[in-house]
Amino acid sequence: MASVELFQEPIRRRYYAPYLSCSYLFFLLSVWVLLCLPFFLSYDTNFWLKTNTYREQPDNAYEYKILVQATGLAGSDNYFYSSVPDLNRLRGETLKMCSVKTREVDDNRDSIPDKFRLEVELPLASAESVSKVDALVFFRTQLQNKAKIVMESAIHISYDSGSAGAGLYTSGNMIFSQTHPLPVKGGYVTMYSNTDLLDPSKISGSSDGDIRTILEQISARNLTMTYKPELTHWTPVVDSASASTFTLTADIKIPTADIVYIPTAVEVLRDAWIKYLSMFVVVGFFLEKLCSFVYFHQIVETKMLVETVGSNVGVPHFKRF
Amino acid sequence: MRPTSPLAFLPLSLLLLPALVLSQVDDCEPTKHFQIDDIIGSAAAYGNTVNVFMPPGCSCKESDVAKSECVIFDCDCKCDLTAGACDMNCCCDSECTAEQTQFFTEKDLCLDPGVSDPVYETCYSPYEVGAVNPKYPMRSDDSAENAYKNLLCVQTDNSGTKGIFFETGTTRSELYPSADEAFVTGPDCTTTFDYSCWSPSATISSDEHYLLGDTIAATTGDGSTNMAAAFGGLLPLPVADQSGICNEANSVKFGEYEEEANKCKREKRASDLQNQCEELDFDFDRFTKDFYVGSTQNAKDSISATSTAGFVQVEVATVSKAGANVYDYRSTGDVLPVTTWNTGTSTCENALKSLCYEVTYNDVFNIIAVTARVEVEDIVESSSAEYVDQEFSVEFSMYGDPNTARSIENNNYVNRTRSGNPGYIFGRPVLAGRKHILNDAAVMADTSGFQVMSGVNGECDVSTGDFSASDANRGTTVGFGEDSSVGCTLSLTEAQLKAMCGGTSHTGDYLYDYSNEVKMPWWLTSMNNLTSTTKVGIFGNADPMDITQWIDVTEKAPTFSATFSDTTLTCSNFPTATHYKFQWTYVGSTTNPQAKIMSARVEYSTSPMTFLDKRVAGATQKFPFTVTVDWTYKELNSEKYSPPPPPIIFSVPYDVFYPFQIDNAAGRNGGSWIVIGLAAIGASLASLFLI
Repeated sequence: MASVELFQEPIRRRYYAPYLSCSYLFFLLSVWVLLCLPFFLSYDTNFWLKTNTYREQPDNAYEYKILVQATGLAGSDNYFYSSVPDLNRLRGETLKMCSVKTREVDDNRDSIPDKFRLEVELPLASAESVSKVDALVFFRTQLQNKAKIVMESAIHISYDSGSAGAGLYTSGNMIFSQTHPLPVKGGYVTMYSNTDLLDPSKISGSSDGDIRTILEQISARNLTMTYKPELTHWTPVVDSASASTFTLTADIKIPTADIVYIPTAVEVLRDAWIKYLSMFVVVGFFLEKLCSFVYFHQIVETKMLVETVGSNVGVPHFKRF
Repeated sequence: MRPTSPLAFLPLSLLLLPALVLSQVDDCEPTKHFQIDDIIGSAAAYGNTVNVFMPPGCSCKESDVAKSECVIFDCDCKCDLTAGACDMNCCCDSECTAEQTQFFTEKDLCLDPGVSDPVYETCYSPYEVGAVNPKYPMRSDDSAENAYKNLLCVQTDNSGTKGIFFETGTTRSELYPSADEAFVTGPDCTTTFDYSCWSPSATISSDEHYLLGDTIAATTGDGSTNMAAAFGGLLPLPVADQSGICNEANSVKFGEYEEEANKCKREKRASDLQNQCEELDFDFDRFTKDFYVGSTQNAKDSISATSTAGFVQVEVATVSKAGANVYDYRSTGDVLPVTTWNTGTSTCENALKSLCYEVTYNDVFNIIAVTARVEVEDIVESSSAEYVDQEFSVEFSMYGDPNTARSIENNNYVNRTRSGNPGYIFGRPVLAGRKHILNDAAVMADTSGFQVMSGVNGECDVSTGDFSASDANRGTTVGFGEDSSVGCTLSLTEAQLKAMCGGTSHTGDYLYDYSNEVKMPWWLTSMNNLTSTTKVGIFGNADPMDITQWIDVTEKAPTFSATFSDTTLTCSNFPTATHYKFQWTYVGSTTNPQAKIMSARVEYSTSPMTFLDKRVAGATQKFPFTVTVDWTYKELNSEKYSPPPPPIIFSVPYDVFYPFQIDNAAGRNGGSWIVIGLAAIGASLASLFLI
């Protein structure tokens, strides 16, 4: 009657030797190699994960704060507008009230704006002109994944034509920039909470709205949002003698950014363990073959026990090389 | 080697002397092109008349083939560009003497002859060469080994293969196919291109029905003779070019029009205004008088010099002029004014200021009428060139009832432009209006939508004392989802500030009595202060005939009372800003969400108005006023909806498979899933026995 294989299991060979023997010394050496060699093989400058990167789209919420500064061909063509009323009152004759329209576009409806559209209309009386325009737009920027931070940021839109214009169209990306990696501490961290770029509650003079001063503050920060224009078009105007409107239109895309952060201890150990283990497996494989050869052929003297039927420990088998 | 003496070139100089003299006499004209008349009589001048394959200057590489039939050839002196003379530095030029060639060679000036450098394909190893007789103390260093490179090589490949040549064919027709054969297929202009791809091609009109975006034929003339295409044969819609100047080479496209007119400028030339007035830029007759528009799309192919068949004439409906009556030919039969030049006052009277074509088409998309609304103004001649603003627009409307009956259910009682259907489209005007004064169930919707003040020139308009449509204090249309801030400034002296704070307008009557205590400028007032509460459409297709589709803009009334301090020169508690707040959300399917307005509110705020400099008498100071619009998104939870299961043969308790969810909460009678599961189990068991 034919039979079929139902189950299989290996039979082990066990090797024994006294503590004070070359075999035991070889055993210790094997253990040391098994544990340490993978570490040396996998170790390099990147073994311990000091920084890591992940991708995240910053959540930029418009703070309804904007500064617009424009100059024209004539010396008197100097205009200022802010959405902060206290700043406007301190600007005297240079104040020119603008019409500002903004819209945050969330294409994929993930509650994070993907685009930001800005339209500023600067009314001009006859003989007034605009040839250069600067705008600072303030956002509340938030990272929500690993490096959870909240901060106030501002992007700078600037263009100097040299000739009078009726409008500026610009399209570009709002890029998250960082000089140093971000710490990961679990909860949200409010960055630069003591140094607001523009605090409407602390307006004491017109210098509070000075764009250059704010830009210097931004430059001193580690984390910034930067506007990088890709497409720009300046619409010239031939008739600067009559009243008109200068229109600044900006289509700002907010792409996903690479966030560099300092990993936690758990992440560092996990990453190192993976690197170590990958070498450990290789070393262990070859070491197992080596030990098997050495012990089986009695290159170092050991006592070999082979498991057999009816015996839990097997039959001793001695062989001298 | 013998050094080359300058005297060696003396014979060459003598030879070239006549040519140099001639070139100087002939105003330095180049003398490279010979005169064929000088040598036409010489029989020796006639060359090869049969060789069509190998050009001159080349040598045949083909064996046992006559020169006239050689198609395998090579050419080896591309720097020989001057026929009949030695080309400077062209060492391969056979017209150069041996002395000249030697001179060029010694100076290392030889130009590339066009023949590739010999390739040393087989060279003896430099190490082997260096190892020959390496007896001490002789040895080879690196520089010596470099010298051994290419020392012993096979330079000339005289193998049976003479190279790889282009297959040019062996007959004249193959070598020089006719133009018809060569260009039988032009570029398809989708993957391969040439300049002809972008040449204008005649547009073939194949349909009499207009499609969206079709241009519209236009012709002008007296209707029977001398008819000719106008503005290039297309109905014009001038638009601003990159400098803002009106460009008339832009045409109306059927069914396409913008909410705002095209604004552009015309240069008012100081010495040519009369001509501009009577015939050119400011004469609106150019766009309206004896002007015909194609009623069908293919009318542009049938423009006739003697007939207007297939065309409809443009009629001027109204001519309006600021400060004068509106001349309405259509309703009252007024005699319409025309653009004329007044020599006495040097004024162009009734010059074109704005033009709007009203195009009416029928249900098969044929144009049945075109009327024009014209706005004119007087332009006075000036000593220098100036610019005048003009506006051009077009509107389309269909004549007749729509296919579906007009009803509340069909939402088409009133012809209007929707801001979405049903959900608002971002950026489209927010629908706004007030309760109808004659019918409480209807809304008087504003065709411009929800509007707030516009800061024209940046200054607040104190000239008018109401909130009329022509007032500059309104004019900024609020788009759905657009956060907006508009403002204006009011220049006041200290006394004027104090008067305004006390409720008295320093000029005109720009303060509105909101209540006994509160007065505010007209430009800050909400539309609800006039007759009734302002309403906004909940959805973008809100029907003016159904007031339930509209919600109120709830007002938070101001309670502050203005006071002026003579010590601090500060006006406190005077309204300086209006804030509109809209809350919106999405409804409907999450895959096709519809935006709607949930709630709307208006409130007012105040900030101190301090006069900064009292020392200068009569000094003015700008005080800003602002209207803002904020949109807040209200996120609603989404729920998964599954319709109740269809009736089944038997029912089981709803929680028979708890905790596994097999149905929605609405279906408490078990479900078809149970039947399907049982069927699947049965099928599995049956298959075990069948296999």
